[in-house]
Amino acid sequence: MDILKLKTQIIDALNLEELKPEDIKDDAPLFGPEGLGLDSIDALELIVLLEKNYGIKLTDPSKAKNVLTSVKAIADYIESNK
Amino acid sequence: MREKVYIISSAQISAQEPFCSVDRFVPVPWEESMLPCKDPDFRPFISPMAARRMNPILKRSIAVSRQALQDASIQCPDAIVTGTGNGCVADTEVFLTKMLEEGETMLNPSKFICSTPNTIGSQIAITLGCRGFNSTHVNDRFAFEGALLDSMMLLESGNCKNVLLCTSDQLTQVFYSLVDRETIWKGLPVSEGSVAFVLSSDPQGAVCLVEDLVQTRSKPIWELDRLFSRRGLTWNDIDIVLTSSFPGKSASDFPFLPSDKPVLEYKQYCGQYLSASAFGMFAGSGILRGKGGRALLAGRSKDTYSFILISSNLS
Repeated sequence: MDILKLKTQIIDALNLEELKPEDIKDDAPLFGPEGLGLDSIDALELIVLLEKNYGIKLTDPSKAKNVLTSVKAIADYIESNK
Repeated sequence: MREKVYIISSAQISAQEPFCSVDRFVPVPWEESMLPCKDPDFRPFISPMAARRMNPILKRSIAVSRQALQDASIQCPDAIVTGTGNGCVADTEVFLTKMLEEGETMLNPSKFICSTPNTIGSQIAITLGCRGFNSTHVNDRFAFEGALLDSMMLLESGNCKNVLLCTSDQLTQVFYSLVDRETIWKGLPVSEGSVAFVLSSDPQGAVCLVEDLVQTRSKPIWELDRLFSRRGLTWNDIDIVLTSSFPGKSASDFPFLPSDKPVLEYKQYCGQYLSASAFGMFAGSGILRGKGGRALLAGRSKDTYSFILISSNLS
């Protein structure tokens, strides 16, 4: 799984213009004040990103909550659902 | 007794320098072209995280709103009223284009949320933390007049002490290519702009008084006579007329205007966009701030007219 490519896709999808891929730590939390500070609309954008770029549908909200915790968690989920 | 309506402060982003006053306006190039806004640095007004989902119309609307509120020393208004001809049309275009490209699946949520005209007023409210009255008027070339009337009714009824009135429209390549086919826009610089006013029922710190507003279809002379009669005015009481006409066209658009009356065709400074009459009131109130007197704003689109009276006499 190309994690750098995934970070670039996340930056593009969420318009995180101020950030570069290397600014996002693999295991840093994506949501909440201690991480990137993403919100619920970003979560929807990430779900669309996964479906559009990797053909993965996240329809179960409880599963999405566990998958969208960090870039590494997303990458692992993509890897295991190829 | 009905409360009066005062303009406390105003701010504009347009083809002119951002936030500049009327005495620094310079005529824009008057030819058929796209005339975009001159944008300020938005960072003092919006945090980067909040700004990342905002297209320029939202950033401009928030910036002029915050500037006008700051000038009025008000942190949060009692109400927010928005006027826009087309709303966030750039996001609407992206959303519809993606809908076509993706076969109506995997739609982009941000662009959907941001594509409605209501987004402008709601984003201003979220930014300010304002939970008061919030409404949006989408009424083609008379969106500003509708929003102003709503604001005046709110203040006159005593339900609000102050109202933030924001109007915004934006220019896109698609919109330009569409309006270009319409004869009424032919040969004109198509532009964009955002203007905010803080209106209050309290005259303290006011620039001028909004005396009256009327809109009429096909009967401008009769309606103007009624307006003057209601206010006990004659043409001698009007110091300047600001018209929505293109340069040199006021006499043909408004043949009933006295020929000796000073006229300012404000679109020479902002170009043509749907809510440009707000720019006209910005210019008019700026002129009254400097010179005093009474101004009549005369708007026309095809056979629909609007007249707004503003005065530096606050009593």
